Amino acid sequence: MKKILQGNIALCEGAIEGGLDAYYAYPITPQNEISAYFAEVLPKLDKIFLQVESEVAAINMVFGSALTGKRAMTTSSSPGISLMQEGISYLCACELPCVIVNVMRGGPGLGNISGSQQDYFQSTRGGGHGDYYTIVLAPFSVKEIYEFAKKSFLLAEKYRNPVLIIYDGYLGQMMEVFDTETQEGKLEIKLEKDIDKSWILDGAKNRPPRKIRSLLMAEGELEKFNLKLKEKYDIIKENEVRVEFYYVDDAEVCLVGYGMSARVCLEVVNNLREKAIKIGLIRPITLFPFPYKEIFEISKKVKKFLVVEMNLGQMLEDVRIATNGNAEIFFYGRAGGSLVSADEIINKIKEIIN
Amino acid sequence: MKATKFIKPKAIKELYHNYCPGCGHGIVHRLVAEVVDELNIRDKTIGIAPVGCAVFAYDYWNFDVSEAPHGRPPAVATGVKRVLPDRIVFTYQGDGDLAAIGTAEIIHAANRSENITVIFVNNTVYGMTSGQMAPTTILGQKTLTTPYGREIYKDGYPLKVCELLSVIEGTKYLARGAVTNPKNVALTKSYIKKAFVNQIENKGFSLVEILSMCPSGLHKSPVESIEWIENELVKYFPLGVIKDV
Amino acid sequence: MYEEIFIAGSGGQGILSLGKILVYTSLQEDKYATYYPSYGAEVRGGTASCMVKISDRFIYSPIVENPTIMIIMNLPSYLKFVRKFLPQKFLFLNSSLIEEKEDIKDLIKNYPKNLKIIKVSATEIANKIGSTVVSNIVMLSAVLKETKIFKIDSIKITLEKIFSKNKKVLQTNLKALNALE
Repeated sequence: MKKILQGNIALCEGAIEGGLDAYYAYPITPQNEISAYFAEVLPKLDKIFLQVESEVAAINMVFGSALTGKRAMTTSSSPGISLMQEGISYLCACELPCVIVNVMRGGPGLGNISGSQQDYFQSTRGGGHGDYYTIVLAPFSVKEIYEFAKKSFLLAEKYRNPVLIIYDGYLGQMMEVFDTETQEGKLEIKLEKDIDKSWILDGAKNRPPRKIRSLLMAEGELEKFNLKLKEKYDIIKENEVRVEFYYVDDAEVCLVGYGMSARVCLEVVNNLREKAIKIGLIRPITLFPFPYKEIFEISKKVKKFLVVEMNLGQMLEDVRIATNGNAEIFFYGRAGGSLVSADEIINKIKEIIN
Repeated sequence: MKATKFIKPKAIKELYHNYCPGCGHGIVHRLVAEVVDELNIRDKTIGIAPVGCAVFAYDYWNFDVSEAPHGRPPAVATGVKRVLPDRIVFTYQGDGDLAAIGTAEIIHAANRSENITVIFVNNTVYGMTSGQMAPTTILGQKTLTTPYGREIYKDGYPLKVCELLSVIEGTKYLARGAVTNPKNVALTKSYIKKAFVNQIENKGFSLVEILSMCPSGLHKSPVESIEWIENELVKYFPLGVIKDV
Repeated sequence: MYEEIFIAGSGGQGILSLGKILVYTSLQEDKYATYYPSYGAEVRGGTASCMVKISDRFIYSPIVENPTIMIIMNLPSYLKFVRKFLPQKFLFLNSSLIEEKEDIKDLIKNYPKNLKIIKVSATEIANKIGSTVVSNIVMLSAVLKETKIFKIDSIKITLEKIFSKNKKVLQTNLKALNALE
């Protein structure tokens, strides 16, 4: 079926399809369409919608609903996500599955309300205190927003870990025609075994009581838990990397971009390929786990990489780690809510080639 | 005279707790457990423990318990209760957790009249972090961070949580008890019971504040701590039912 | 087919609606389309603009950098955006609200030679139909006539869907759509 939706609304429809039980949030631009949509639709479906007093409360209500094994979600934009970091650290520590969406805007501070990708570090490095990661999905189309939202709960439950969906305000605001039937943009989650719900708190009826906590004071207990988490993250790194390649094999310069900047890059690639200029694109779809191995393989053949972001160089560091000195790395980025343009990228490529 | 056998409630585990000698937490834990037993709700109760000395409450109670980030139990409880409205959900919070870092969460949970029960233990001092000023530390009271006594112009006034919440229409039951003597303990238990029954009857937000002893934090002996609460603290925090609608 | 359309005017002139109508219509004609609104802190009265791309293939960036078609509904937008973009094929101007002043003449010198400028007194025509708010649809009828991006019947289907609950508003819109026939 063909649909036409705004990015933020596609997120809502996807989340509902994916079995959303409860949504808690505090208003912030540029993602207010999400709350408005859920406020109208969720009560009719007998699901929970609450506009709450702060992002701090929102993430902790997500924590509460996640405790019971229900599918809970919150959405916000950059400053609000900063406020949630404490809660996200606890969610990871208590291994509670949930979905958090960041419709990124310009920063730091109040910044502006335009789209940006300035929260890459915050998203991919845990974001709060302690040694942990969230799974980070970076859709680049309205269809991917819809599909990722649909499957993100399952992914979170598979690993008992929060999933973060991040996209910039531009993608959130844009409308796009897409086909729900086609395979592209779908997020397949492989399950080796049934989802484990033997940990949830729903009242100790006919079973021993359970506790959920992250305070581990006995000697060596916390380190043991940290190692257990690491083991989980290693499995995630092994199983869940998603990345797309476009014309990479014979590329003279390989662009690397995600989300909205990948779209602009793709415009550039198609444009230049028509002129027989050999440009390729690597598009990481998961930012954690990051496609280090895949990019490393490409760096054996392609010797020039141009990282394109709507920030001043964050994923750039991961591409440097991935290529491990094999290739020359260049960067083009726009910050403060500005969008990279195809013309700007083409000029940068000309600089690199000549 | 017939001897009464001292039996542990089913809702409390067979464990020694880690509280200091003379601490009131053990009594309050037990009162909650007795009420849970009496109302026969142990298999549908979910408790939310705070950050503070009572953080280990999940080790003592014999029903489902989760931790919560500091000050956030009312938000976590909201998240549980909204998706499982037929379970009994309560938070157990200290004065720092509820009346300092968690003021936004408690006020808004109260204002939404979340159908939850809040057990608020007020011992006027931060026990776990070694005895700093709490929002409920009374004027002139010496703590680690008010070595010259709490002063109005520097530290402001002690926060009266029940009185503050009483003007919020969403609060349905507010009471302040103490666990300093058998009579007060019995009264406090009746408050706690009422706060749970309210939830069972879907009446909305209920909170019981409990004046409790922290001999280590107050730098007093257990007996002195009790005397201080009964002689000094109750002057500022009067006991009794503050609101019942 | 590949068109980059930029639409601007003042808040209340149906700028964003016009963009959405184009995108919805792309569904009828089995085209890919993207729509991107510009949004500011202000809600009403300021400049409103949106970007629409329509194509036979997947559209990469939704951001219009080189518009083929530009639709300008009032003078402030004209002064602002003709400095930013030079449309490649068509420039539609709402002549009811845009008067050509001296400083604009300099700009016009820079226009591409084969650019077609179409002036439509959209607001006046809309007023005659009985509703200022349909000036966007009057303009749309001119756009369809000149550019042939969509069949007029496809637009009719979109309008019927959008205004299915309000027959009177639908009639006014359909009248506006046929205003230049």
